[in-house]
Amino acid sequence: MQQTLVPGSSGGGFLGLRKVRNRALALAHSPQNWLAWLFLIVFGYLILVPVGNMIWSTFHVQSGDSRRAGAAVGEFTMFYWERVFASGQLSARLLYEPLVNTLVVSLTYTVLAMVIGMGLAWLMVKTDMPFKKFTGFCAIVPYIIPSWTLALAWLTIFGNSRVGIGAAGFVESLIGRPTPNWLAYGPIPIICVLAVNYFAFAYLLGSAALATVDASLEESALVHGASNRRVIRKITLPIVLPAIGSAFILTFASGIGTFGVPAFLGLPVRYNVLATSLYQSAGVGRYGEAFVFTLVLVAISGSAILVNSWLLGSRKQFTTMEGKGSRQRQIALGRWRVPVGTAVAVLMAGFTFLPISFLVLQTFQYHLGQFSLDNFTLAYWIGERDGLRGILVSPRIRAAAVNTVVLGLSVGVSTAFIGILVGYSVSRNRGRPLSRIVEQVSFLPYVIPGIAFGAIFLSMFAQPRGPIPVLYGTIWIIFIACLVNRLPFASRMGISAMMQVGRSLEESAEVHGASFPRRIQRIMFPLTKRGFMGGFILAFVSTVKDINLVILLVTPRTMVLAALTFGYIELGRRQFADAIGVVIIIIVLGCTLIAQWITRTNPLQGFGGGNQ
Amino acid sequence: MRRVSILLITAALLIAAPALLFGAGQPEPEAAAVVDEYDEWMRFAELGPYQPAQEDWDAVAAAALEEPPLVMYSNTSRGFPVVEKFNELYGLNVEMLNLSTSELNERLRREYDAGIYAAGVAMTGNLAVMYDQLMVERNALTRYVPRELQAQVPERDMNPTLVHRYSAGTWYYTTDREGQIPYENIWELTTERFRNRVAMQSPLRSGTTMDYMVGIVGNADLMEELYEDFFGEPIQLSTPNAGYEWIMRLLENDLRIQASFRDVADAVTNADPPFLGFGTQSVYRDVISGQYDFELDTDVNPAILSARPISMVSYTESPNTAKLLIRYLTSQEGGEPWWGADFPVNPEVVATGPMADLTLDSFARLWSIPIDQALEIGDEIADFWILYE
Repeated sequence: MQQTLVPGSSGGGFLGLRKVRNRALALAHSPQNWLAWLFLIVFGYLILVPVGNMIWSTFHVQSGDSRRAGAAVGEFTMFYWERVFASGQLSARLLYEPLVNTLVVSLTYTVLAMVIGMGLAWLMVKTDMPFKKFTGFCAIVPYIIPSWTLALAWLTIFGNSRVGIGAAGFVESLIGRPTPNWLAYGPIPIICVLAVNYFAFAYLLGSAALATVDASLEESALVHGASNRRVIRKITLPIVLPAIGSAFILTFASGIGTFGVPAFLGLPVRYNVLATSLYQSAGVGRYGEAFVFTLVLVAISGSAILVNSWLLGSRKQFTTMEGKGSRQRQIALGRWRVPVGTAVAVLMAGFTFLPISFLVLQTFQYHLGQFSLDNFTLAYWIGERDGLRGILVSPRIRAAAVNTVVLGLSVGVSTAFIGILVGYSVSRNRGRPLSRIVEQVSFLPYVIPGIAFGAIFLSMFAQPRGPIPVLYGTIWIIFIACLVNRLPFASRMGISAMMQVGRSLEESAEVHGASFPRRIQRIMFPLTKRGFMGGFILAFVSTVKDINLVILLVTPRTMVLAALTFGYIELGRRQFADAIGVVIIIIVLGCTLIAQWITRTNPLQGFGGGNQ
Repeated sequence: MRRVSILLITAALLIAAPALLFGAGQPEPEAAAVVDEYDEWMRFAELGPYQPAQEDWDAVAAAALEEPPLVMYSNTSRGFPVVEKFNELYGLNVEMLNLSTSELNERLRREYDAGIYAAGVAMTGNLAVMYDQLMVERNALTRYVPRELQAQVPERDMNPTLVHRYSAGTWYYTTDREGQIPYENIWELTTERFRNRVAMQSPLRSGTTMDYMVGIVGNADLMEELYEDFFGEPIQLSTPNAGYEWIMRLLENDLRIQASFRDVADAVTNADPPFLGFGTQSVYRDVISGQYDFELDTDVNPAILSARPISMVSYTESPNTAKLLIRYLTSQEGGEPWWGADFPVNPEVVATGPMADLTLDSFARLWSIPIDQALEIGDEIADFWILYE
């Protein structure tokens, strides 16, 4: 199509040269092409190089391993791969048993999270359910809360006196005998906690997709006599299928690399998952093995992506936003309206207020876990304990809070913006291998555990590389690491949003002489605002609360809040860490509300979802 | 089709790029050059053979004022108030970064390999791993002992680097009605009476617990004797020695594996006796404050001595600040947050606080693990643990 812009054949000898010139011109005139190439090069450097480095490391003896590997540091070795894959019983304990557990846990909680999240998204966007503002507000909170808080909240309720730290939970004190072990620790609690922790993915992606479904499609079906159920099955569902696929993968992959919850709830009953193996290896500095586990996780998530694109590839993509008016249609719940709304609001409130009140309560306990009035203290907020100042009066915390907000906002906005552009270039190049490669490379960081990523980024940017100066020790390395690591959220959001925006709008603008930036600004961005907000929120939240990615990159000057919690927990003063958790929740909710106000996505309809 | 192959080639090149960047990159510097450079820095920093016989602390403090701000890496957050006081005292701008021992080791290692010397002083744990990776494999850390301490501290406490303080890993227990310690022999923990009634961290997560396991395996003869004392018959081994046998039987006796010493303390506090948990003595501070309820075993079983080293980061541009800081941290005032619970190596320091009565002499027997033994057996124990856990 673009070729027509290039002057026709001018004769002359060098056919090849002309071809190159034509190609170059065509490229310059098609932003989706040069964007795709640009992304390929930049992501190649920021993502494939670290992965390549990781692969290289697994074949060379790492520091401190010369005794175990029987060779000098830096020499070629198969030691790590043999150890993980082919060392009989040891491999069974390190890899195969945790692998089975990982798959069982991840698949189950993903399905559970999808049911909760997608169901909620549908109710929020497609029905006239009441209390949407409140419910939407609550729905995002379980994702913001540090996951160990959710795990602790679980133990407070279901813990029994026979396992773990032996503290009886509410249920045990209520029924007067210990709760069964399977309810206190192991796969079932892990599945439940992770489902609550991650259903926000499904909710955000789902509501963003549902909101773009044009009511005229559904209405025409209704007019032709289809039932509501049939409309959902035949129209709504196929349209939001890419988003469902994305949500499934994001939810699945985020839990696969999660360490905190399985450590809390699995370790005491020796229920191991791959992330436990990985973090245990990294924790004792065995990076050779840790990288092998990382690559196994990458392979699992990679297969999930392939399966997803294979499933989706057999269906057609639906463009639902054309240059005609688009409206939303809501299903009236009738007499079920209030009961359903109440039930959902109560459920969401439970997911939110239970762990939060637990978190807040702990910050006021002088001794952890003692529920009495004389144990009440403000020391962890405005006082002092063990020579450490309260969260609100510590200059260190204040500086870290500022860093955190600046970092979170800049990473959130940049990633979301890049995500839209990735979505643009991928959706406009649909079906071409280039598009598929960009899409898959941009997803890769998601499955690389933070600690491994941080370690490699440290090495990469501790030296000047070409035009890039030494970034280690500056906020830039943290910014780039977070940006790359959060890219998958945003590019998934961007892709599924862009898939639904038809080409006609952009083409008509182009014909009328609008430049590419202007087209993005006036057409693509407004139409995908919701996708942008979703990408922003997910990237912002995970940047603000993440520890593992930044822990090897922060300095006293570039300290962020989440990385400060470690020291307090190590001291046994979890109350400080809880108070930081509360501050993080306030920051996230505050900034999200402000961002929504600025972009004018209606906060009344909850985060990312609802009508305009 | 051609486009596909071009893309595939590009992708392959991108994947191969790191091999070019990292594999072939980082050429090993000539060994002699490294030694010269290090020696030059030692001379500049007045360390090792160049350390003056008498240190003029006023001059050091004055020189420190001219140096770039120093960053201390520390695995304990108790250092924060100390650094503040230190800065006030000397008019300096020392900053502290608080990370876990393994993260600190990883950073120091990677920073050194990249030629970045971001920190000046490192307070860490896990002496064996630190020594192996940061002092033998590379010169990332350098020993510094103020002259006045050298005269007072035993050799053991300043080689291969200065020990800031010790802590002791031992058993926590709750007493029964008679106030008796609930066991007499370590093998009792593997019997039915203690099934699911022993709590401990994984040695893969806790250096002190690992040291204890190395002590158990390294003292297999003693473990064999203790077995005969308790069961009245010689041990039948299904593992390499009596130490491993004990570990295996302990794991098979439904050992409660915990995430931290705090969780161990919680488990002991929450349980009815008999119940035992393994952890460091410093948690006892919170028994006194009322958070936990248990006693420390100082008699029945050997405790494990765990060193907390402090070193200078090689090639720091602020050696005088570093010296001043190390001297301050080992003093009565500068080590205050630790002297209430841990055991200082500086003999001039007087322990303070409600735990002051507990000293290293309070323990009837203390195992101290030599570095080479810790390195040699440690890896085996880790694998053994993974197998039987």
